[in-house]
Amino acid sequence: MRIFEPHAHMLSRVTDDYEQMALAGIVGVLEPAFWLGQPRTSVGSFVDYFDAIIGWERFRAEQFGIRHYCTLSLNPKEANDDRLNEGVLALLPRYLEKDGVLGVGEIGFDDITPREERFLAAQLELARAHDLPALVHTPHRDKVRGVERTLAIMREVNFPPERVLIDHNTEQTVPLVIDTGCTMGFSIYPDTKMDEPRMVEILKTWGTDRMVINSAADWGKSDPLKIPKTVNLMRQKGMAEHEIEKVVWHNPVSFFAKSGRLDLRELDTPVSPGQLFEGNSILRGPRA
Amino acid sequence: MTVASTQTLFDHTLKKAIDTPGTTGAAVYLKDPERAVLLLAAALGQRAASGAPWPGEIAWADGGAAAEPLTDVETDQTTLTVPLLLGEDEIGAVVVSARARVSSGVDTDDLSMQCRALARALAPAPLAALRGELARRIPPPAREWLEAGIAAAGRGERDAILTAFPAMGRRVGREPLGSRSALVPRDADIEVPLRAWRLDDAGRVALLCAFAGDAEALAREIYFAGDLRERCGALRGLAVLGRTPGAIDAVRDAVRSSAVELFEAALADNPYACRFLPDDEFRHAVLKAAFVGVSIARLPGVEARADGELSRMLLSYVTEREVAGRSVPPDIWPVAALHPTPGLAGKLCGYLEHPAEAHRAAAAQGLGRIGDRRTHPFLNDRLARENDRTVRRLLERALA
Repeated sequence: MRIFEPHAHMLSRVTDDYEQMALAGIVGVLEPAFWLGQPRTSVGSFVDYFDAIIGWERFRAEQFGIRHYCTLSLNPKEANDDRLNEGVLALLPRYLEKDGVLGVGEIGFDDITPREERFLAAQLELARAHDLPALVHTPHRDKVRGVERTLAIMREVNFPPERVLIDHNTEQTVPLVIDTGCTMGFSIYPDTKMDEPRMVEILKTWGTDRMVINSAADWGKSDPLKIPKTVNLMRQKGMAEHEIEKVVWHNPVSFFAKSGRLDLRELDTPVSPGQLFEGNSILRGPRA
Repeated sequence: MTVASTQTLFDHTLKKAIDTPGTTGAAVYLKDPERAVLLLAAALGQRAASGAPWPGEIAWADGGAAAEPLTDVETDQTTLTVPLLLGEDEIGAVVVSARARVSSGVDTDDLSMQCRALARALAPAPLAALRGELARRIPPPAREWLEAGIAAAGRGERDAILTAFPAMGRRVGREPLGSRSALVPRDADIEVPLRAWRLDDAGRVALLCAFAGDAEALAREIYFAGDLRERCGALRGLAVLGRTPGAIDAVRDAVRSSAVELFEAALADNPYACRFLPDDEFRHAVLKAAFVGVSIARLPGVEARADGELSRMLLSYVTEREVAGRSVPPDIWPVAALHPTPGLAGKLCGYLEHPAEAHRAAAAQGLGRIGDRRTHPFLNDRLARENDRTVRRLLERALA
């Protein structure tokens, strides 16, 4: 079964992770732009970060046979930082036109401040201007209120819910989002956030329409194999194969295909890893 | 190109072709764009077999073997066919007729070079060539979009090009262009092979070729604002359009990169980099090419710029690989042989017996360049047992 991982911060992961992801059937990965763990102090850091996501990280993923896509944004936490928030917003129009950028994200709330609201609204406008869907982060503290405020802002700017993925949902937020038409993401983590058994229960309760799961693997304690592990549990608990495939392939792929930038034919073609770290683009030098 | 100047080119080539005693005539044939035939374009002198006119067309068989000069011996004449190669694409052939058993006097190497020069002279301008290559491979909507971009570029609209560059891959595709041909600029005697180009490279370079302003400066600007594919397009644009060292910092940036795709676009098949990189940086770039697996034979001018220091660096790398028990790229041998280090001839004699044809061929070529008579017994010994055609030819040449 092919898997599309719709949320993993691969810049913070090692090549062992890529190897294992490829073996587990992960064919494509989407890396959202986010916070680095400690504050960036200049707009230049974001330039380098964006360049690394669309350049080096994509190249690195392909060496392991995985197609790499991304969303770019000013993340919720750093939207509060006046040293760079406006400056980063000004960078985005150029970057949102690059290949492989399938959406604006992660945007949304961290502490639910007025600045965060302003930049959420501004980036929804950017998404609209560039015809891209939006990937929305929901806060890990006061999450219910964060989801409510997010939905309110979407309504205020009249941004279509079908083009929004609300991520890091829990049992408490599903009822708020389920009837909006938004796609719902769930991040399966080892100790915190959502876990596999609760996830399977949610799917059994609410169904698989517009549901996606991810590992949100980052620089903290997280596991890029959480999707395949959840697939195993889904099978054990008797979920039908086509329902499982819907959650780990069709739903995430069709959501990000709304960008018009995800070539489904390309996704069907395996990336040839080439000669690892010795390859050239198409033409192979003589080998002995 | 005017009809008159084309005729002059043909005459010049044909005169050189029949310069050898025993040859009676020669003809230029060019490939028909639609059918698999070569059409007679010009002729000088007669075919050796009396009364036989030059055929108006010859059937053309596509095959790798035809890319080399072919000698056909009949009872009454010998015919030497030398392909006109643009890149690796045969656009025609020069057929030389001689009395029986005479053709061994014809310098086929020299004639092959003449034929390449003729093919270059006949080549369309890069923009027309790229349009032709793309028209065959991308659907009409993509073609229309690209033509609109080319028109805007022709009007000097920089912003249109800057907007089109990131979108090119999505619009025309990213698959290999699949062309064996090469681009020949109107104003420089260089050839830029298309074999490693993708569709989006071709589209991006077409825009740069069409630009009514300073394309070299624009390519440089695009490089520093571009993502990986845009940068490759900009570097390939510099290969065709770069005329001053003004954009060499883009090349330097790419040469420092760990993304081999970018490194390859900067150096392989790229006359700009190979012309304008200073000596020391060029040597290090060649070494890095060997290190990351890009064939150094693809770096234009590597032979002209090779020196003792480069040989020393390359052979030091070879030693490192051999000590680690890893394979060595054979394309190092012919380049290092231009300025051999002590013991290289002996080492290459060893590689004459390597299981891979690529190594045996490269070693034979290297030994031919070193020209040390002490290696002849080993060359002869190998020749007696060698079955591969290419290797045999190089062994014979080394012994000549």
